Amino acid sequence: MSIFRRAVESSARVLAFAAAICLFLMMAQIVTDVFLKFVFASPIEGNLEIVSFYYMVGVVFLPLAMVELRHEHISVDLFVLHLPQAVKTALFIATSLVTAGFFAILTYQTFLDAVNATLVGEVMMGTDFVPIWPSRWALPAGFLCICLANLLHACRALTEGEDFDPTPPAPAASGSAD
Amino acid sequence: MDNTTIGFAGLALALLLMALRMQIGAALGLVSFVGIAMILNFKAAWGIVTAVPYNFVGDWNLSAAPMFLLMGYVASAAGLTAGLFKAMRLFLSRLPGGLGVASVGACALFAAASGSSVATAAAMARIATPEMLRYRYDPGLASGVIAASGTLGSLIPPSVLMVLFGYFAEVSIGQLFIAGVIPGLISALIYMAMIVGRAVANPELAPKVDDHPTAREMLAAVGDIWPLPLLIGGVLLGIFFGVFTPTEAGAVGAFLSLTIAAAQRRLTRDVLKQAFLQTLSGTAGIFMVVIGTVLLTRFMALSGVPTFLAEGLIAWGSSDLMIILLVAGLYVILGMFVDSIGLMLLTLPIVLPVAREAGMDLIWFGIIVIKLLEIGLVTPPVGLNVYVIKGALGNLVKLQHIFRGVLWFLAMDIVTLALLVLLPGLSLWLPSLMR
Repeated sequence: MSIFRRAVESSARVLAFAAAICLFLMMAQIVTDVFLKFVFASPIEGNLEIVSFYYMVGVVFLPLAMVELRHEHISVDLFVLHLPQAVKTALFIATSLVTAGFFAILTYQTFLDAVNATLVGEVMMGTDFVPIWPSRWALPAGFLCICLANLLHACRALTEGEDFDPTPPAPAASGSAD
Repeated sequence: MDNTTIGFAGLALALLLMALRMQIGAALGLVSFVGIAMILNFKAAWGIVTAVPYNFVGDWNLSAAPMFLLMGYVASAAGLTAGLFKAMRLFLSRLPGGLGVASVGACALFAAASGSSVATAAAMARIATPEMLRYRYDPGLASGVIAASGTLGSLIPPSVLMVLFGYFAEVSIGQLFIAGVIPGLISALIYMAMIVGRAVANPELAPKVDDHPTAREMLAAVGDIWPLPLLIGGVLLGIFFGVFTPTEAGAVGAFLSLTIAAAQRRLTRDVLKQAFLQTLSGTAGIFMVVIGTVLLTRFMALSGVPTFLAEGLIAWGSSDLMIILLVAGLYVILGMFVDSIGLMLLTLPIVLPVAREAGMDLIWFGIIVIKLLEIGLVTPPVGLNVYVIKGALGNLVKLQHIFRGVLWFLAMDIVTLALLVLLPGLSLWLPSLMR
């Protein structure tokens, strides 16, 4: 259990770090492109394809598990808020399992897609041919990790009971302005 | 079961799963997957899983969302927004109800930069409300003003809500941004006018503040906050004159806010880490719902539910006004449970086809939808922003007081909304000037 937990948490961290690099590169490359366009009238070749299919895909899919571990996926708290703790825990386990099932579906199909794209060496027609197949792998990686994170949460809720608090930090805590 | 029945059953199931606190994106996605498999077959359902997440996320225009989020989170994590209330106060506190007016201004700027109503309300409540209470402002006014002004963020561009609406409605995101400028300003000015009016009529609500700032203090305050208006103004002018696409404007804005934070020696490792983490969490969270929405849009289109509703409405003799009122009702009810981004994404698969069928201008409709979403955040009995403020203030102000204070602002919002509905030019004039 603790090995499973550490494995999920460290993979989530690694993926989130990769996503942070994508985010930085996205900003840096768009800014460079704008600069080159205005100053030298020569934009970066394939900028649009690389930003859309590499950085954007990385920024969206790689952090999914980290968001789950931080309990920050967008959800509706209001109805379950005042239920008894035992019912809340049971519901949490049930929805975590269903959610894990959904991500398992996504992992399975996007894994097949990534294999196919790799075999045919998928490219995107932009101003030039840009190979995009490697970015396909971000999806099964991100989905598998969030699937496991959901399973981990279900296990933790089951074994730790009330000690495991699946509520997200209050919005006030993330306001961070003062 | 016929397809429409499957569609409605799917919607009901999705709502149930969400009520049990399943994450919204997964709830919408799972129901859509099963629904599509029932209407067509499993092969089609798997096919849509192949097509949707990768192709929809890999989109240049949507990249504007993480860039604007990054700009906002860097600005707030580095404290570029911290001096806003203090600065506004120096300039406005001599007006009747001056601290309230200053709060509206500070919230508007903070919200424009951060793009999040909830984050604005949480942060400003802790800065401005205690100050107003110290001067014996009416607690309802002191808290209601923050709850309501926090909502200005989505209307005053740059706004992530607009990026997403533009994407789904297939209208220009740049034009939506520019269309939001006048409605956003009107909303803020009407709030300010109402505060001044109430303070004049009943000075006890907002006792006079004896500030006599020196010119030097005012200069220092401007020196503290100038980057933010410049950043927002620069982004908007760049889009207006066609210098940047919204995505480029977002990247340049994020880069500039990092540069400013670094120049002011505020860019510590911690600040950087926090801003990046919040941006990633915000982006992945929002886009998980976006994927659910895209899947739901496919499912709904196959089920025929939107056409069924649209035909029903039009046969019933619907006008634009009727559709807007129905959307308003929907958002007031659902706004009790979901924040504005989730609510918009959740409802667009139904609402957009209806508006399209009725031949409404989708930029104008977008501005109205966004205003309605924001109103939903403060509407009793369960306005989300009100609870956020209650959470941020703790026992300082009672919940009833906040709601009572918000009612005045709600009345003003209805005035603004009526203006926006009756005079589409308020939204459409500026975009019509764009190149």
